[in-house]
Amino acid sequence: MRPFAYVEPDSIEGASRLLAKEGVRAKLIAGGVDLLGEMKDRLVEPETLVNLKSVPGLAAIRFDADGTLRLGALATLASVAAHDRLRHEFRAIAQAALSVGSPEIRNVGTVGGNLCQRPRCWYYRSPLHKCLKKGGDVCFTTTGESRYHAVLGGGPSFIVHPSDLAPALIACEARVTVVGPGGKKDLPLEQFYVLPSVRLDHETILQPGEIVTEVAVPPTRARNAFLKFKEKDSFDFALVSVAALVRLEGDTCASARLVLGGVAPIPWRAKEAEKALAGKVIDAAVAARAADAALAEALPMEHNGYKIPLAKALVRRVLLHDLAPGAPDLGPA
Amino acid sequence: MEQSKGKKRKRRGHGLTRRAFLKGIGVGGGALGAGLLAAEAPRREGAAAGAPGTLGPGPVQVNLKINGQPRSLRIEPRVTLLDALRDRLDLTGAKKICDRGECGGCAVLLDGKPVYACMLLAVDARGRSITTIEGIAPKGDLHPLQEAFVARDALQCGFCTPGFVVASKALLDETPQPSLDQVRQALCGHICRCGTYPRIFEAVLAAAGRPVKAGRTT
Amino acid sequence: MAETRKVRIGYGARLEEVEVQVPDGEPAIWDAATRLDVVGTAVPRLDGPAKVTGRAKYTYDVTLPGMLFGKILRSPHPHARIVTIDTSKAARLAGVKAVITFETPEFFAAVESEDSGRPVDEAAKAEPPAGKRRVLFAGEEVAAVAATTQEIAEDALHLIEVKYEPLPHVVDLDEGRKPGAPRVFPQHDNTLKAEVREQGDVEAGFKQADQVVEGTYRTPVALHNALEPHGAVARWEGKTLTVWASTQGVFGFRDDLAKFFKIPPADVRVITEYLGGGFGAKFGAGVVGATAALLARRAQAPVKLMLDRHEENLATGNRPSSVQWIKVGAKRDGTLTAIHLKSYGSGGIAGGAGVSGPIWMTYACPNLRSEEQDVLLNTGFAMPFRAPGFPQGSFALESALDELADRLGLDPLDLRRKNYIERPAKPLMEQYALAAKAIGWERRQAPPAQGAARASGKPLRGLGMGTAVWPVYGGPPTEATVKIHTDGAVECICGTQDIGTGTRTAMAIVTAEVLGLKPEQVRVTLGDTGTGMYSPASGGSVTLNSILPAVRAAAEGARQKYLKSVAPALGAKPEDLDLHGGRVVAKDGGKSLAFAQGASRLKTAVIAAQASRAENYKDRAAELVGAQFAEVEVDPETGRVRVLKVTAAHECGRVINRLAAESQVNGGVIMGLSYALLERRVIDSPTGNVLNANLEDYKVAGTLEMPEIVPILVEVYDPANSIGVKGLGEPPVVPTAAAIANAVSNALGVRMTELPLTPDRILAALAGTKEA
Repeated sequence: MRPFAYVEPDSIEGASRLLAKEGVRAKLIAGGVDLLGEMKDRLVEPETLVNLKSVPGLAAIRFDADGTLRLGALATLASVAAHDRLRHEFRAIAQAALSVGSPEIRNVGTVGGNLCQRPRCWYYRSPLHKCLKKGGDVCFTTTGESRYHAVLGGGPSFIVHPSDLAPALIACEARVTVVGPGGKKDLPLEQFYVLPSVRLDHETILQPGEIVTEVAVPPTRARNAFLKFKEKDSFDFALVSVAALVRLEGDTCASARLVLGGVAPIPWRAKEAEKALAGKVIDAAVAARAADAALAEALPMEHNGYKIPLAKALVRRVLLHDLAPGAPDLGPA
Repeated sequence: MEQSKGKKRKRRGHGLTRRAFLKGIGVGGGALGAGLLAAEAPRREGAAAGAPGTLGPGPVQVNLKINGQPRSLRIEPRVTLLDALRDRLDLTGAKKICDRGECGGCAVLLDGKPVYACMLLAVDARGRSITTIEGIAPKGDLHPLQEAFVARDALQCGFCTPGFVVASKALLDETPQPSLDQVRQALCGHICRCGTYPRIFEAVLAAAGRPVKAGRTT
Repeated sequence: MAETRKVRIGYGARLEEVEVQVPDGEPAIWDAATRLDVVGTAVPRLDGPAKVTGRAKYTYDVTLPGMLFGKILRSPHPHARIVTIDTSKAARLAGVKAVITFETPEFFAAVESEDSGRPVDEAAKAEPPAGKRRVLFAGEEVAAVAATTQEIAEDALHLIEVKYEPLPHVVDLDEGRKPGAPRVFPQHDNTLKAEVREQGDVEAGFKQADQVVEGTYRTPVALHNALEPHGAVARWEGKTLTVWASTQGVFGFRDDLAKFFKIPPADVRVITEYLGGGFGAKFGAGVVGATAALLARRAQAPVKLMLDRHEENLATGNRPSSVQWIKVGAKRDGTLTAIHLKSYGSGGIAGGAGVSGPIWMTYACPNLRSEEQDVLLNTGFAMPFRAPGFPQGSFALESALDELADRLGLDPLDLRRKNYIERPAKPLMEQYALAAKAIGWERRQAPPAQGAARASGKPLRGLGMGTAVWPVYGGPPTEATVKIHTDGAVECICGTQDIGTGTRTAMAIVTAEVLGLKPEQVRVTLGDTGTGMYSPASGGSVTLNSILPAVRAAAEGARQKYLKSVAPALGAKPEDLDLHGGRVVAKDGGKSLAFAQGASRLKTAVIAAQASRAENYKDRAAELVGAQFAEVEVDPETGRVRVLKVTAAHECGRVINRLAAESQVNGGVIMGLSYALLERRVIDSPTGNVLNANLEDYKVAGTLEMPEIVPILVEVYDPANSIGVKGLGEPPVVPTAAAIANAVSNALGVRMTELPLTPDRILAALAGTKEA
């Protein structure tokens, strides 16, 4: 890590102003797990760190009177996973939070940090490889090692977005609040992420000075669930994850939202699969059709073709098993 | 898989030349050192220095509460809690193994919860209560959990052991009677290369008064 | 000089009496007839309290007054010529106290030395002199600095400017074998001459066979990843050098440094009080040890140089890759007629990729042929890795045997039994029976027909097994001293290191046994060449069988001196006295004294006995054997393999500490499981760099991968030394991957031919495609 000045603003506006003024020379730090990794590998070399934790009031998890869930950007993943009402009403979100890293990571990692974390791609993380994401002109995966990379939405970069929380939140129709030099804005979390074909230097719409302050999730009675598959069970990122939210009318699926993680440079909304579910009773055949639809556009690279059948299996499983009324307990937070 | 056979999309970048790769690794034309060097741009490290609420970039006074004792040290803001503990305070129980939050060897308790000291700036630990492995047991004595680790041979080379003990302590403080599965989950962010896990499970369960032989639960 | 004695050998009820030739002066041999009080019980480690409290000071934890921090700059290129290097900016940085580069002749010599892990190869030696140096792999040492803090040392590295002229490189095993591939050493091909060994006539053997199977098996490069990285803290005082080192061989480390600095070994002291693992990668001083001492000499201050995880995974050793073509023939009844193995693999710029050990040692087969080739590549060098060559060879051999058994319609265990090699005191048949019973081997079913497994979509169970074998090494020289002080304090001293296996406690156990004490009453000193008590490096399962006979001889010597001093007080002759239960007692049941009381009668402040390890007894304890069985569950939709249970029956000769021995078995199984399911080094071919030199993408099994493990120790009496201990470190890692792969193949009905058994490979195997 290179030396840096550590600034502790007392307001979100102050933090935003400073970040806007310093541009790429400054970085925002919350839990810091992702950022310190990047700084140790000198992928980023900020001259100034702006500590968001000095801004009060950003760590709350609360419910509005109408049942809207509000997650402060600084709420830890552990606190999300342990929140009783959240676990009951937004099972997918609690499951996703609980699936991140290890207890040590969840005790420090924040909602905002998880949503804004940078790719785990081994070329991106290598200080020696000046890849597309770092201003170079090569995505090394195209002739290199691509087993953990994108099968959907890739090009010109083939990273996958590493967040577990994002697919779950998007499935639950979350909106994100961003404060910046131009004031406050609020948008669907789904629109927060951008493909590399649109923007290469970052995975979100965030501009210098913009800070995620809150995520709001509208109340729902729909069943929701999140399923994550890792190469190593103990402490790993997702090879593939699936978040689903299904509104039932009687036995029929009125509408559904299905979001995949680990397969694309952004959390991947599988709209064709959602269509395949609408108006149907979800049985094995319907689930299989939805799974096929979700991956219909997938294009494997040299080493990641396995993600396609794997993702299909997980889609079927989340629909038939994890959304079912008798789905297993969440387990301890 | 079937899908991978028929339609392999032409990837941008296929047929890249060696030159392009060399350029990619920041060493094109034999000009530069390690790509690392390429990033060595002019900096204004003092940019924010002196502004209110600003620490560093040079050494600053940092007050920490470690194992119940106030400790004061002068460090740059870039120093991690782990390096502060090990290099400045000679609290070497927490180990530096991966330095990237991947192995658990450096776990300490922050307000009673386990965290990786390698991925936390020391300045971010101000105002928090830090408990290291050295602070788990009363002076010169062993905590029952530590006794169980010794009795069950839940350690071999011992380099990962402080991290496992710290995380197990946090688990038992919150869940005094954990199931085997809870023990596995609580310790999933720790690596033991000697392969002592089954005995660690036994030790934690024994310390919790549940001395069951550690098998798979499912 | 030797005498003939009778000893009882064997295991369980299968005991026999044989004659052995033993060197003069050997104490009574601990054989099957000997009953011992402390040896073989479950003794918690004496250093347990220090380790669980964080008080244990490893090399990484050593801090000396005025100590500097060292750091090494490494090549980003897999193959390049260094054109220029400019260290002026780094040298000017405040806090930097020393900078050395490949232009520093001694540093160049350290990097180029054979001790650094490079091949002993004339071509390598013929390299041009310093100033025109080639780097041969990404991660090779180019320069080093010492500074007042870690942070400044790191800053300084980034200020060193190196100009490289990249040269063509090759890092892929199969690419490296092609004609026209870039050469690692210009004078010869990357593919070295095959090592050929033959017994009988394999072609004739295959002609006699009723069934022949053949297949090609692949294993990845694995990385040791001992949790304490390589490193040292070096301090010069005049011409003498003291080094705290993370090493599994303090004496070898000392001798390397003495040779390097051209000073007498007695002027170098190497200390390793606690060691955070080694697994074979920490034998000599290597570049790290020499560099720490060089920096310390330049800076005239102590220097701590510890590698980080990334460096650890680039340039400190690995288990080589392998591609093994194996052909096995057998009669209808399973009797093996021929085994032919052709293999190649790469240990990077070094050799060491041989894998034929298991085919030569495990099963009876009259006709055997092995042809093994090393392929040199521009990657980090191999170092021995727990049972070098054997986990790879075992995977191919045991897989082929399972396939053979299935084709012949035989139980795979029966096939192994059929080809058992009989030896005296060999417990393998007992181990097969115990481990098979513990796993429920009778539940094993023939593999499903191809396609059936996939169609069901249901979790699939399978059972598999493998046999462990490893030669017994170890012997002299080793020295030890046991001292008894007038206050009754007992010390046991040997230079050896405790790599994590419990050596310290084992020394106390043997001393306590001889002196009638408890292990915790013995203070052990080890890990220090300054003791003058030589011992070999800890590798190849040699530590206890090398050092404990010396410890026992020293303890017996101290015992005799003690009894002689105490005898008058009890009015007895020394030979009529015994040490037992913390007391010196008359054998006739008469008077007794507490041990410490007796010690107070010593005529000198301390009595000390030093002893040497005697030669091994002839024809005893040639090998270590074991058997492992695994049960797995495979999810055919996701490709996830879960190992449910592993039963592992092993032996170590006489058990010294039951707790530590079982822990070793668990540890071997877990390391084997991790190798089977997860571990592989990934190198980017175009840029020649390791992509997963960390613990995120180089995946090591954690708590959630753990199966139920049942360690089973069969105590064997077959003494080649006065204690009858044989060793245990390597065998438990040998057959685990094979047993798991066999279980997976049994579950799927498809033979798995490549490690690790990751979901992509399982899915591809079920889909009938080669690659996912």
